[in-house]
Amino acid sequence: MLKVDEVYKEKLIKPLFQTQRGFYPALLVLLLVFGFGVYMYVRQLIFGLGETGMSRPAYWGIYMVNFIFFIGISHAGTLISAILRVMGAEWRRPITRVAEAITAFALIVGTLQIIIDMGRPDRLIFTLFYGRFQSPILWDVVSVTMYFLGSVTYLYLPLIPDAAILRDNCPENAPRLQKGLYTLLALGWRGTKSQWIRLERAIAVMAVFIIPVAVSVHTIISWILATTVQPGWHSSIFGPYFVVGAIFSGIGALFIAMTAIRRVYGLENIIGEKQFRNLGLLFISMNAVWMYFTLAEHIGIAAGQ
Amino acid sequence: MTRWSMVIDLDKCVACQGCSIACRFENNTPVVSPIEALRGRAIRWNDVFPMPVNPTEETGEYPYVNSRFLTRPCMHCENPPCIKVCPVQATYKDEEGLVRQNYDRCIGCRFCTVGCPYGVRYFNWYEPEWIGSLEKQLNPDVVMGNGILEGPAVRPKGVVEKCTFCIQRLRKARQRADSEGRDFRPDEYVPACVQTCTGKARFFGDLDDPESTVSLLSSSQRAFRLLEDVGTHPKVIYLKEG
Repeated sequence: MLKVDEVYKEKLIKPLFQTQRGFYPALLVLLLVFGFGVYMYVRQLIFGLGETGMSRPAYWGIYMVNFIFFIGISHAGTLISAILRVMGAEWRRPITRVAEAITAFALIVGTLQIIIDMGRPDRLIFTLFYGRFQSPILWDVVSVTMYFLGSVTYLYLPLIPDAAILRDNCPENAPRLQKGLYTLLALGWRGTKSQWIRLERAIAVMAVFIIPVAVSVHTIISWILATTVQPGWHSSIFGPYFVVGAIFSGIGALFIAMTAIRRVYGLENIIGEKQFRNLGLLFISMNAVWMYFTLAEHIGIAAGQ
Repeated sequence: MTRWSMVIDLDKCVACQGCSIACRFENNTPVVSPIEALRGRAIRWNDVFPMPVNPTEETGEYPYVNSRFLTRPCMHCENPPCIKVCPVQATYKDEEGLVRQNYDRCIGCRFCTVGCPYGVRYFNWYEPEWIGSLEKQLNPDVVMGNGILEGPAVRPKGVVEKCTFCIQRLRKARQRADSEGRDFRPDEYVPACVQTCTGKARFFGDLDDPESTVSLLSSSQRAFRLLEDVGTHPKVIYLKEG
């Protein structure tokens, strides 16, 4: 039986079993947005991709932008939980889960964009049957799949002790489904020393493994553009340029998510000034690197005009 | 082995756009409304446009106009950038050097349209429609089999299409030679645009045969290819004006 501090019990466990005020209005608004999206996609399926307003030569429009954007902000999780973990920055702890959740969900949204963007989504399976490994899209399928599986694992591993806490501290009247879910997710976690050693080792391995995968994912996305001979895209700095931009926007997404969670769940004591200040410093330094790449890309072209 | 190639003599081209129209009727390219065309969704496998496309110099006032035109089919590159980016091998170069497109395979990701530096690849944004009597004038030829659908076969929506050097004409010429029990000669087949050309500005033939018209013209002083520095090695060769 794992115990939890009474102060934290109120803050951290209670919201999972009680629906907060404002949940249903928020859900309704999001469902409306979602419904509108489904309506537009069905239109696109029935009439054709012309409905999107894309044309020639802008063959790729908002979907590709969304794809790159969402895969980009998914780098928040890797940066906070893997890179900072390897560097031993302890202040990251309170916001780790937020960052990892952004990674997993943003990856789902991002990958979906590619399928929505296809003219013939019914032929998606052909990429497995007749794949041409020279095509950067296929590299992308491989790297994004690996990144998704890796980051879901990486989200889940540190979740095991927390799931065990929830399992042991369920209120009496909690739904059986919820109790069963926590029991399943906890995987028989008892909090013994040997269990902790094993878990820490697994997380450490995953942290090191996920960093090169994350870097490769956004590099390959940039290569989708850079391997063509289009003027402005055929650039050798696109790989690092995109990775830096991804981490930059990932921190931005993390700021929004952690501020919202801090406000809604009243976690002012846990997510404090330290997290915001340190993350802000990282934000500024990534901004500087990104600015440097932007200048490096454009000055060379501009000088020739 | 034959290596199909086209030579376009810009000195003889009168910019009548006959090649574009012949291509449209031979290959069943769908028509679009003027609004859609303004959006850049017109499909012209064989396009005719003024050179340069965005004039940087004065072209003059009518009737003292100084303008030049370029006709542009698919370049059927030796090193085509479009086939390398296709994730499902829907577009491929066959043994005769033709860059072909399989409409049954294409997943509509439009990577090839982005990869082609010549803009010869077109996407079907909507289901193709033919208004009124145009429907009755469709070319009935279809090149298909083994999960392959290409040539002038009416394309479904959501796939990419392109110039095939009239693959169906090559097919028919081969079959005719077969049925007559003789060997196929490269001069038995030309694409529709070459056949129709008003100024006889287009030549077609086998680049591997050193005696063919295209081979002789390709070594002309006036010969050039589009975007030679990109490294695609086009098999459509232009002869420059003057």
